[in-house]
Amino acid sequence: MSNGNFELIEKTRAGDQQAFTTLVTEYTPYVYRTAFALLQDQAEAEDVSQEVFLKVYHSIYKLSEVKAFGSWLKKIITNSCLDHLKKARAIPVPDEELELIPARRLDNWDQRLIIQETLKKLPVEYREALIMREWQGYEYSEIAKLLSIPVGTVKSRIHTARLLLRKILTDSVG
Amino acid sequence: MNCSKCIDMLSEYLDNELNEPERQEVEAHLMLCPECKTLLEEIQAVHANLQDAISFIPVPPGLDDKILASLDEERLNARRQVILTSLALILLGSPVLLIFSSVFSAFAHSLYILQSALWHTTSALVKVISPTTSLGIGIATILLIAIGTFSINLLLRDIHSKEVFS
Repeated sequence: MSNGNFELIEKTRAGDQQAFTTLVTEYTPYVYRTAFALLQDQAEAEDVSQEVFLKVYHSIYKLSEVKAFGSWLKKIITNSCLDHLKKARAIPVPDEELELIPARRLDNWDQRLIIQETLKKLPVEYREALIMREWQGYEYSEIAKLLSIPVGTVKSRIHTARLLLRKILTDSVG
Repeated sequence: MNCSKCIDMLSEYLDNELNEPERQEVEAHLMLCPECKTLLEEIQAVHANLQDAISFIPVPPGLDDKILASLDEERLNARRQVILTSLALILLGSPVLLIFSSVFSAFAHSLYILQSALWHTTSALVKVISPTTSLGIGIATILLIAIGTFSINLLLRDIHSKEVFS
């Protein structure tokens, strides 16, 4: 996520409608992709994207420091996604199903699809911890706080999810 | 440090979540163990592949326009809400204005005179009617109320009020 367009953020904070339109256009891909990576559902990811920008629109004037916009937006996305996940906790996919991903030589697009497919099948607890670490860059203690779980659980979820993904990727390439 | 312990700590090592002695211990093991080093590289590759895969999640075309349209609608609804609330407050508060109207004071005065006349008539009647007649009228009134209540009950018996009002 680009965090550097401070002028745009400053203008939006000051109530400039045109700046807000540009901000929506610029940040929609990041917001949607993060929401999709966490929720694995297009309609829900679209809903979350709308919610996020609505919150941004209503609260950006409260942002004291323009430089904090990136982490502030990240937190809004994460909290909105976690709310959606709480409402509809997915039934974890058995590990055997994760093994069913085809083993063959892959190009970049195949690999991306396989990772996206694996993310979808990953139990939601593992997925949220992994995405929050790998894509959003949260530290273990921050993830623990956001998910209200012990740091030790965060460590084990991230590690297990990585080993699972690594196994699928190495199996696919091999 | 054995391989099992090192493997358990690899994610934390990658994420800089280990303290200094633990980090040194893992690094020392990695220098000696090619298997664990390979595993570390594979986990690092997972990070890169995951970043790449998420970066390429297709964004539905026109999503930004859809978001902006929903925000416009939200703004419009908020404005409409303000207008409706203001109107409702004005309408609710309007009877207060009647106090200042001469029509209202004339109407209130007439009501007062009517109520006063009714009170005087009742007092005069009570003085004229004998106690036995008064008692008869009282009993007849109670009977009429009882019959009325019974009739209303009969009328409403077939109406499923709970279903209507729920």
